[in-house]
This record gives sequence, C-alpha cells and structure tokens, in this order.
Amino acid sequence: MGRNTYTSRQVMESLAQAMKSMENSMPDKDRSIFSDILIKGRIHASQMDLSRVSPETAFLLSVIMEIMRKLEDD
Amino acid sequence: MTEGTIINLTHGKQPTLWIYERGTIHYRPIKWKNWIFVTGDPFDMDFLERQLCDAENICYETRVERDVYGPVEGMRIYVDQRGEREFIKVIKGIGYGRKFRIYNGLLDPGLKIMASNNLSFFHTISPLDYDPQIPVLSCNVEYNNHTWQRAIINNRTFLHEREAMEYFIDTFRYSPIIIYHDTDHMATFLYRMELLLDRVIPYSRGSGNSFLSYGRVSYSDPPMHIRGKVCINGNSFMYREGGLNGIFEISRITGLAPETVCRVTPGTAVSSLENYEALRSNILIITDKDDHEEPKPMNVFMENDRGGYVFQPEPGFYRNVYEIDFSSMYPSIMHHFNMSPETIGVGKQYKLPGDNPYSTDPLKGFIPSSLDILLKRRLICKYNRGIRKDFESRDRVLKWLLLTSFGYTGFKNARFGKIEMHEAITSVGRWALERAMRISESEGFSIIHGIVDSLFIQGNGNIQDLLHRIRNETSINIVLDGHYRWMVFLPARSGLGALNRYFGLKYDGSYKVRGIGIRRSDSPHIVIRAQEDVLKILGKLRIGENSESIYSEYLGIKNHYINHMGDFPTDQFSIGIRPSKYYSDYMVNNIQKAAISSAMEDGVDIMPGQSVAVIVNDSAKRVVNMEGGSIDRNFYRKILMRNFEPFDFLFSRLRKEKTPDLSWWF
Repeated sequence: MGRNTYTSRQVMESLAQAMKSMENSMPDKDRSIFSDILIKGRIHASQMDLSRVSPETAFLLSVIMEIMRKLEDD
Repeated sequence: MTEGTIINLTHGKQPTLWIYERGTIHYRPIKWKNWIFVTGDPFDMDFLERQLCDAENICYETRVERDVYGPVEGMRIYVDQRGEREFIKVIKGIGYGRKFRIYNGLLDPGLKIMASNNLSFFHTISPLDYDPQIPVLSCNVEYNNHTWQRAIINNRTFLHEREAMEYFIDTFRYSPIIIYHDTDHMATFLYRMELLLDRVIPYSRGSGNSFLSYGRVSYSDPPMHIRGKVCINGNSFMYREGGLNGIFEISRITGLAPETVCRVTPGTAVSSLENYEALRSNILIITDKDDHEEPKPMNVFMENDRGGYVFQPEPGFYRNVYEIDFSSMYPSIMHHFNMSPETIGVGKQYKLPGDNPYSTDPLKGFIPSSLDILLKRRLICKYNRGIRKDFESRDRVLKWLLLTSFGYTGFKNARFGKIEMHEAITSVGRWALERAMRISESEGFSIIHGIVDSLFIQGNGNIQDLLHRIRNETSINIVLDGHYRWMVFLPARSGLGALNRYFGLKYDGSYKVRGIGIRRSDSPHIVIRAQEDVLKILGKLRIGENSESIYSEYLGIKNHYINHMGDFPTDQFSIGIRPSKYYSDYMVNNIQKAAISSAMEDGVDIMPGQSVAVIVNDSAKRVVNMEGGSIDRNFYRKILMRNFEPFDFLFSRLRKEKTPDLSWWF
C-alpha cells in the first residue's frame, strides 16, 4: 500500500540514464549538445505528473519547449 | 469520577489509576472487563459458540455492534487482558485463520481502559486551559565511562556527585514526574547513589531498539521505570518537540499514558487517537485488517498512485519572493471533502475535484470526525502560540500528528486506512496546487517553485487578494508563510533545480534555509559556524550599494575557514556518525566502522542508528577518535569547500562578469 510507483522525476532520471550510454560513442563536439538535451528533457519532468503522456513523449516535449523558449529569448 | 488529575495508569492484574491531588499521588483501582468481538458466518459462529460452551469458564453474549461501515452481528467475548493474545490465537485456530473477523483485540490496554471509562489523562475543561501544575524533577546526569562529569538537576548545575545525589533525593519525594535524559547515565547515577549514600531507589530499565523508518536506521533509547513515578525520556522525539506540555497534550487526546507517549512515533499516536475516539463512540476496531486493495488495471493503478505535485525551480537568485502555504493541506482535504474508508468509493454522491475517479458520501465519516479534534486544537494553539509558551509546545506536537494522519491512510496495517483514500487525497492536493498556480498567474505573479502544499511566487500583485481567491476556489485555507527580500534556489548535481536546497532572507531579517550544511545533523560545528558567518554578511547585502564589499568579505571568510583550520578548537571538527549496521556486519573498513571501533575502545557499545560524535584524524587510513587528536586537514577542507558551494553559486556570475556588482541579477 502507499506509494508503489516511481515519481515522474525518477522515471525521467532513469530514462536519461538509459540515453546517457549513447554519449560515450559520440565525438566531442556532439557530447556537449547531447548532455544539454538530457538536461532540457528533464526540466519539465515534474509537470508529467499532471498529464497522462508517456515519459518519452514528455521528454521530447520538454526539449522542444526549451528550444522554443531559447529561440524566443534570442 | 475523579477530583484530581490522572497522570498514569498501570494495567497489571488490577488496573490502577494514578491520580495526583493536592501534592500526593492516590492509587485508585478501577473496575474493568476486557472484551473482544467476533463475527463470522452463522454456521461458523454456532460452531464457535459450542466450543466456548465446552470451555465452560468463558463469558460471552450475542450482540449487534457497529464498525465504521455499519451494524455487525456477533459475539462479545469477555477475556482477561493478560491472556488476550493467546485467546485470539485460539479463535483464529478454530476458524483456520480466515473464518472469523475479530474486533477490539490487541489494542493498548491502557487506552482501552481510558476510552471505555470515558477518562482522559491531564484533563482540562477547555483547550484554552493551562496544563495541571505537577512538580517535575528534571535530571540530566553525565558520566564518561562511569566517571562522574556533572549533573543539571532542575536547571541547577552540580559538579560534585554527592551534592547532586543529596539534592536529587530531597526533590525526588515531592515530584511525581521524573525527566531523565540518558538511560545509561541515569542508571549509573541511581546505582552509585545506593553505594555512596545507601539510598535505594527501585528502578528497572528496558532495552534499546534499532529500527528502520523511511529508509533510515534509527535507535530508540531504552526506557526506564522508577517505582511510583512517571518517567519521561527527555531524549524522546515527542519531548524534544513539545516538552512536557506536548507530552501532556498527546496523552490527553490519544488516551496513551505519558510514558507510552515518549516511546511512540507520531504515526502511532495518530492511530491511537483514532482508536481512542472509536472506542469512545462504541465503534468496533478491526484487529487484523483484511480490506485489501481492489484489483485494478495497470493503467488505472499507475494513474492513481501518484504523490504530491512538485514544480521544479530554475536555479538562480530571485528578489521579492512570497511563500504561500496551504495550512495542514492533507488533513484539511480529508476533513473538508469527507474522506474516510466508509465514505469514499466510486459512484458515490459527491464527485471529488481534479482528475479523481473517486467520490464521497454526504454523511460525515469517522476519520473527518477524529480529525476535527486535531484540527480545532491545532488552530487554537497556532493562533495563540505567540501569547503562551504552552500553546507553542502543543502546536509543535499537534503539527506532527496532522502530518502523519495522511500518511497512515496508505499504511497497510492502519486500522482505518484505505489506499483509495490515500490516492484521492493526493489527487485533490495536486488539483489544489495547480489551481493556486493558475490563480497566482492571473493575479500578476510568476511561479518560481512549488512543492506539494506550498508555492514560491514573485510579482507585484496584491498578495491578500490572491490568498482570498485561492481560499474561495479550493476551499482549503492558505496563508502567507514568508516574504523574502531575496532567495537563492540551488542546482542539484545534474544542473537542474533542486527541490529542497534553497535559502532566503525575509524582510523581518530572519532566514529560511533548507538542504545546506547548516541544517544537517551530521555537519561539524565548523561548517555550521562558517555558513552562519556567510549568512550574517549576506544579511547586509544591498543591491548596487555594497555588493563589492560583501563579495570581498565572503572571500575573506572562505579563506579564513579553509586556510586557517588550526585556529579553531578541535571540538569544532566533531562529526555525528550514525552507523546503520553492527560492527561485525561491516565488510569494508569505512568511517562508520572506525567510529564504532573507537567507541568500543572507550567501552561504549554503539547500536545501529545510534549517533556517535568523532573527530576524523586520518580519513585515508580510517582513523577516528571520540576524544580528539589531530584533524585530517584535507578531509575537512573538502567538507568546507563543499559547504561553500551554495554561496559560490550565488557569486559565480559575479566573478564571470568580472564586475563586483550584483545588480544585474535583478
């Protein structure tokens, strides 16, 4: 009883960890971009709690949102 | 029935009330017949009745009683309290462990006696009344490996053992309540009193207990009993939080004797409060809970089983921040939306707000009725805590009870718990926080951080109007918890905003600090001192006026602590280590194992969860010492550097910009 399932933030962390293994096979110039994407994808992890989307979709939406924001800021 | 104040209850062969009246304790035996209630299938009940008839000396009667769900027909069986556990085992054996439902068994006997006689400890007519005046003997004695150090008895310090013992004996006879702070030291004191003064004070002591709670190993001190006295453990959680007034308050509302209150967790206290109220209202309490969670599809399970909502902050520096907080959010939800195991379900009359699949009945449930007592008393204490110190103490312990009252709804052994209720409460909580965020934005504020029941917002809207609107739209009380001149939200290791690492300066000059060294129980004093010094200079920070000098002062402090560690006394480097295992269970030679080993050399046994203060002499070779010795400078330098990081973060952009001005932050 009680809380049995992972929180949305824990789910996103494990998703990012799984993707992080790709980083080792990347050239230097791509690595920093990739780690930036991993951070951007997790920024809106907690909002996933109020939605019913899958973690992967939430990750992608978060990256898109952050890129859009950056474009707007620039 | 009683003139004086009930201060204790013993329940051996003859239950006896301890009544304090005009300076003396009167021991008054109380008549009470213990019973349990058994229900089951009519055929099985007939079989059980035949068995009870055969046993000849068992009294029973067939009755209709009620539990939280409604009337229940069964047998009330009178059984001696001391043999109750065995008797229940026999009943379970007759019914193969599944044919009978047993009620009112295995409860605290004292609680049962108090509730069934409608009595309460430390009774007051109104929650506004003062606690009864009872003389107390507070005794904090210190021995180091059985060598006398000193004693503080009723705020008087004694450096000579014999003098302390004589004062103790003089005061002892007039004090029905004894507060002790360390069982081992107190036992040594009483034992040596017999040797030195030939004065025997009969006492007994239990054993300490290591336990796992919320993923952390903790240790509870062994309890001590002195014959004819109520012994309060001064190191117990409840006493530390609320002092004697807090213990009296919990005892009063839960029906637990004060010595028991010292031993129980807030969760058990809440559970006892519910049991006490149920027994007083003649509601049966199930002994072994068997209303398990209903099977549900995986997607429903995943959607419903979610906790409170958190809105991650963006790490940075913010000015003019308001912290608004729902008061006792979850208990208020349970109370306002009538959430109780018997009222909640699917397809009931009142639909709950948010994405909730559950609904409730209009008739007030048992849990909201029990919470009434807690919420009303807390409200009185909260609003009067500035006026009287006893209200402040009561408020602190009641706050803990309210906090745990929600958690117990999801605990599998909670007698009045139900997982659907737990899910519904968190769901309404998420809805309320989301509503509060939307309303805040519409009132001209922007959201910085939100966590379960509180929001940090920034903006120039009218804060009172905002609170009023949220209160009206969510039906949950929300208050302004703080108005900050500035706040810093710190990053986690990943670079994302940490939920619980921040500090901020309020307009009244006080700080709110979370998640940094100053708040950690295992931080050495030098870290706490260093962070206090930095916060002190940050308190003087005025944007665009003195930012440059503040930054220079900060660098000076950092340099002083990191490069001049030798200027500080050795005891400032003492670290609280809390081993989670026994010495023999450690496979690697780490600091925890070294700390236990060091304590063992001094003749002190450290149990898992017990804290020991040591100074690290050589972290590479795992050499620590309880007494002192040289400090491992590299080890402490790393700790200090880590604890300056939050402030480095604050000044990082300043250094990058190469301009000694913080105004760009705003």
